[in-house]
Amino acid sequence: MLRTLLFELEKRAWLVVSLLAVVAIQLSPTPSGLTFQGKQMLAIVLMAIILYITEPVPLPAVATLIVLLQAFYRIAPPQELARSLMSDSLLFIISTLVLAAAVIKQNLDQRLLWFLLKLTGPSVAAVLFGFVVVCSVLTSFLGESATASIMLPVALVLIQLFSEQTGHHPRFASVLLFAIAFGCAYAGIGTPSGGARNAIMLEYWDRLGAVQVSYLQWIRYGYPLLLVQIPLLYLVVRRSFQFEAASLRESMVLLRRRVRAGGRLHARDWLTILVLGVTILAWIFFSSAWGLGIPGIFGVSLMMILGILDWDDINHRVNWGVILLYAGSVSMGVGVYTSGAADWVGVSLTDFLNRHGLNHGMVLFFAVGSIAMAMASLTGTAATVAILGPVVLRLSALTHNNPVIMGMVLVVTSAAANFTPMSSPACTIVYGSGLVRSRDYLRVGWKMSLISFGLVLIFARFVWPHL
Amino acid sequence: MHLLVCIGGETYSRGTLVLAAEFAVRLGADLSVLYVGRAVSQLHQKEVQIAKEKLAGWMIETTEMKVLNSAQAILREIGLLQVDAGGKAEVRHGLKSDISGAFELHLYGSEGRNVRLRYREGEIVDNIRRETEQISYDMVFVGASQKRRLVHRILQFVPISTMIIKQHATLPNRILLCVKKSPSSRPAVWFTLQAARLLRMPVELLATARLPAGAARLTGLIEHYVKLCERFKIPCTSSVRIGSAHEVILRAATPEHLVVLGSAGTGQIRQYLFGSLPIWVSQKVSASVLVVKQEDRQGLRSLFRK
Repeated sequence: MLRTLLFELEKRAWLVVSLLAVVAIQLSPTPSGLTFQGKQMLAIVLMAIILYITEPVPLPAVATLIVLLQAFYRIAPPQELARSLMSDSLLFIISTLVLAAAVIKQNLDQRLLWFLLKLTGPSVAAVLFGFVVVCSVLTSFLGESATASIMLPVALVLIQLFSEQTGHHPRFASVLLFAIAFGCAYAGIGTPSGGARNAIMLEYWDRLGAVQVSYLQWIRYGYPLLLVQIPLLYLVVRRSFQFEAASLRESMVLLRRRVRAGGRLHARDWLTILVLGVTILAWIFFSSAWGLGIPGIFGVSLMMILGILDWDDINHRVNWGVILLYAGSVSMGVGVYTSGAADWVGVSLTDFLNRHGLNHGMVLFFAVGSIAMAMASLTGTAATVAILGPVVLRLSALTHNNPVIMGMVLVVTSAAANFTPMSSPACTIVYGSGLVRSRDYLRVGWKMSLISFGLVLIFARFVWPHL
Repeated sequence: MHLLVCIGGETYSRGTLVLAAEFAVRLGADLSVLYVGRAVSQLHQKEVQIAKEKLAGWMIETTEMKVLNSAQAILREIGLLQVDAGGKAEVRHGLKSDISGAFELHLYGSEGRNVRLRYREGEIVDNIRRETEQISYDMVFVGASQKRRLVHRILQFVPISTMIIKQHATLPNRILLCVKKSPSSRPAVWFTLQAARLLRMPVELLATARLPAGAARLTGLIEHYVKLCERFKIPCTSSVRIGSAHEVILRAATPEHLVVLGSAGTGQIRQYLFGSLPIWVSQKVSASVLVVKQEDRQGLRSLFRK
């Protein structure tokens, strides 16, 4: 009995630590300029950060704890708290996850591989570039985990065929798998559907920043940056593993046989592509009027009506717990803003920068980017944007900066913190293949993160202000 | 009788698996092999699971399948599995999800025993505990880890008797039974008598006392255990040594021994904070160590009665 109690207590030690942190902040004096509710909200944020990192309880429980504590501290009335949990961006996140599940369910991967190889030809360098491009483009619309799930088997088959042809070739496996991991991890910034963090930022702009950013507007900000990143990522991956030039001609012959045996695309595959295409077009052309959630839900409804997905598929393939976590995180972000905590943090940071004569564009972007990157490597990108989003918006108001640019800096830099296999879903999925080493993530990741960081500073200073 | 062996990967677990399989053969026991895969962040669990399903659709082996297949190959090599004319292991059922909370591949073992290859994901100690809660095992075999805290946590939190197997360990040829005048020694003695009979191993009884006066008190106890050994027709030697139990056992144990100790009589909280003799011995000696849990006495009786 005592043994079990001790074990369960040990398992939840970080929960105890996080609750103690809440109590400690509660008992400490309120700093000048910070409201009492703001202090309580910062305590909740600290608790959430500890729980995000250490995961002592199921993550949906973190969301419920956030809401419970906000209600307990009377940060918002219950009705308002309930409203803060559901939003257009949450519908959008749900719809992108369901649409991605529909694409994964179809067997488009073999065809995709064959199509890719037909385009690139048998050169390994060209195939590698093809993988980076396809992963980046797919991720920007479907999200990284769906793309990684589709592309990983494709790559493993190619690695297997190449190994049978030339013997074991670990470097070929590494370049291809890192092309997927990082191609997916860095490309989520291209469109709002590239990741939950994007949807969360859109929600903050809309609710807290009083700025509406449409799907197309986001593409105008995100895609040029993504297009510049693609060749750089290719070079970094290729140079990191020094793979010698080789030909995949024989592997392609074997693959053609295998794809032929798999048969042609079925009607359901075509329907999936069609519904996805229609939904993306609806996001691009109607998001200003309809928001992003409704066109997404339209696509989900079509998927179910046409029999592409049934409810069991959706239940099985969509992580509802994480959706609840995102809902709780957005609710917390709204609480941070309305309670005055964001204002206090923003003013303190601005004062600090002013005192050191650093309160101008690039330094501010650098500060936001550095904090976002450091935090994202601990808590994950969506949680980082959820926590820092309101503060960054307040900071942009205090420093008279464009909130869209500040928000984009936050989103892009938080997506660039990929140093370990656990830093993003794509990295974790690829690591599961057992063919890449943990330390190689750092080997490629730090170079790519620096490049991405540099690019975002350049875009924020010289490109985005002109959009 | 049902033994559980926990493995941590393809390369490092060979010794543990071979030793556990040898015990299963000699004790005529069913064997379950548990591989606990690396924990994935809850944020990505679903996505990783879906990616694995996708890989299975392409007939691509995932890491855990590679580990389980390698374990199957080792067990076939040892002769623990029933094989068909083509030399392939006879399968009772293929890999199924959620069999008592784990993925399971059930194989026919030699001499009618059941061999199960099981896969779970997450924290090791938590999963061993879940496994022992859901299935009735008689003993757990775990490879010694470089992480000393892990051995500590396994011995403290796993509720059944646990054998810590050292890397490169071979099948022990004698048992070093460490006894003291405490209730926790009795199940260890009981286990040793039964196991030594079945495994045909001689027993070396070792008692330690800090002072010569204490040694005199232990002589009677040792004589009693020697008589028990004689009754079971087990070759037995005995010694009572003066000094710290930790140091005496460390000096006496060689890689050919199986060191058997009762679980600590110390309280759980004290054990958690400061460790215990069995934990210290498991971490330090070069031999494999079996810690017999005090509350396991009934289980051990029924085990050997079978």
